[in-house]
Amino acid sequence: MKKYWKLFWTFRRIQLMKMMEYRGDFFFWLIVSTMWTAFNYFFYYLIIGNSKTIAGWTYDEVVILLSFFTMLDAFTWSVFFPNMVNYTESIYQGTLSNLLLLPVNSVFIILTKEATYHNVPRFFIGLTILISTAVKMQIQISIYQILLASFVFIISIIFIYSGWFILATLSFWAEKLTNINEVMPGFRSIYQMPARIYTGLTGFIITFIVPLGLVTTLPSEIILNRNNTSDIIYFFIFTMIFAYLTIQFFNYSIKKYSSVGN
Amino acid sequence: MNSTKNNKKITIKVSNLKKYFKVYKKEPGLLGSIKSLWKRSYETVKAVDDVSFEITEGEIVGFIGQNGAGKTTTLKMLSGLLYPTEGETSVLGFNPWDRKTEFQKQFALVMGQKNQLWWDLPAIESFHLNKAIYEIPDKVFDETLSKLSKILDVEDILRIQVRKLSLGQRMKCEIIAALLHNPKVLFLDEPTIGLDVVMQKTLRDFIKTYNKEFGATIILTSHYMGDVKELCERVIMIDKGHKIYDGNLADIINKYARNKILSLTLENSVLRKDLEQFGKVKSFKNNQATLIVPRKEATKIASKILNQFKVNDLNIEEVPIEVVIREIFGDKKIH
Repeated sequence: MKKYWKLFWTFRRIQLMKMMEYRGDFFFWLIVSTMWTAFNYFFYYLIIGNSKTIAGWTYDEVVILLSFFTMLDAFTWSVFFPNMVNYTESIYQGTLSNLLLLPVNSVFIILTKEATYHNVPRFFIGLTILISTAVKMQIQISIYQILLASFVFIISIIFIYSGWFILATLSFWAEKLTNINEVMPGFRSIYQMPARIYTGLTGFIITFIVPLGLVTTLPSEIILNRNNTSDIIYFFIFTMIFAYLTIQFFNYSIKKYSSVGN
Repeated sequence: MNSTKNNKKITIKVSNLKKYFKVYKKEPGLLGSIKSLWKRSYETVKAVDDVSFEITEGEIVGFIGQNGAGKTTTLKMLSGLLYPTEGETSVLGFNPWDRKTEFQKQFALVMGQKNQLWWDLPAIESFHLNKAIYEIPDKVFDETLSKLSKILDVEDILRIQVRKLSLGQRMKCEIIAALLHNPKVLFLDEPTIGLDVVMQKTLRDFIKTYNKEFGATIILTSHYMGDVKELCERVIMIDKGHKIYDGNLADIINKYARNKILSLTLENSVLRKDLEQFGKVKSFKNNQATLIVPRKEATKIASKILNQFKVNDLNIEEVPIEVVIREIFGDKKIH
């Protein structure tokens, strides 16, 4: 465990050094990422405004959800995307061999090796707006709620990353799936809205079959004192089983790895 | 699994190893591409077909074969990168496919055409990462790095971005990265490819030293016969996935060479056609001639020449190993 902890931070250090080699690139994307986050909030302000509601959620409540979305987006672009792009390319180009030879769990390296830092401010923007909106709304939040919301947020990260990993692992079967890494970002619009706006069959699918809708809704509802314990338990069990199956699928798919010729 | 052969521990054991790939064959042109959208024809390529061998501790074995013969595929299966279609492999008593940490800490695969170092950072950063990955103690790391960098003469370039290094410098750094954990088994796939002759020699000397010092078992593939001749007593020849020879490099000549080279220096001038009756005249100039004669009759022909002409000097030599191997791979009858 100590080895993995050390490796995790070694990867972070190396990525930071890599980023500093190309500082122009870093500053450019830092500005783009921050502007994009600001635009996202502004977009919701335009749609909902100060007085209207969406599926029973007020503008401020949606901002809470949007803050969880923004923090998750920071992980999406800083961690999930670079690692999954690297993973799928390495299968196609045969460079996955370099990782598979190492005496370290291959899944660990695939999921943690890469990272970019220009989206890190997104996380703090989301967190700051979350706290300031909660203060503005005068919500009474207990430590238990904070811990539970953080826990569910981590489960959301595991759920999204597992989904992305299972899709990217399909590359072993098709060798080249150029746009596979655009599928999960495409689903982001589902959890950019409260899950409760989806009704009927769509609602059932998004909440139970593929519970993408719960990703930001559940931690937001905990903060808003609307927590639904059964949904939280369901989401937790679903994600754990899903993550386990994802790793099993990787272990099975790796037998299809053909590397490349010399 | 700690079996022995001639009182030596068997480090690598391969039994009836097979690796088949299903390869899609596309018809040429746009029409072929359109057809391939709904109907594709596949062909099974037998990259490795029923190969068996054993390698004992400390041996350096050369893998010889043409491009696509199955050398690299075999090495990849021995490294646990490819899942065999059939057959069994054991390296240091482990099944490579299990990819156990204890196994991975004891071997290294160096591919001359593949880069394992972080491209945008100095090589020293990749070495430090390997230190963490292989859990190398500080003291061992410092000592090994200092020793390897000195032998390979790269002390001055360790802090330069890898992408700015020359091919030779990069290859040396790749070797260091692969050896920092002192592997007991080393798979070297074309380690000298693209390097100049001086660098090739440096690497060969280094491999020899490493083998002697650490008693490492080494499998080497190379298209440069110089590498094989200098490093390997034993060679395994692979052609189209099949093992066609496994034995001493020197014995290849005894087994497969069909001719010998007869070099003559004559006292008086003779006609070229006078010599052609004895064999194929390879060169003929200023009373000096080189003949290619059937191996089994070389002595008899030499004696005939000595009887017929006044000869100042006569030499019977073996055909260079490169030529013999080229003949083997060009000769279909051998399979």
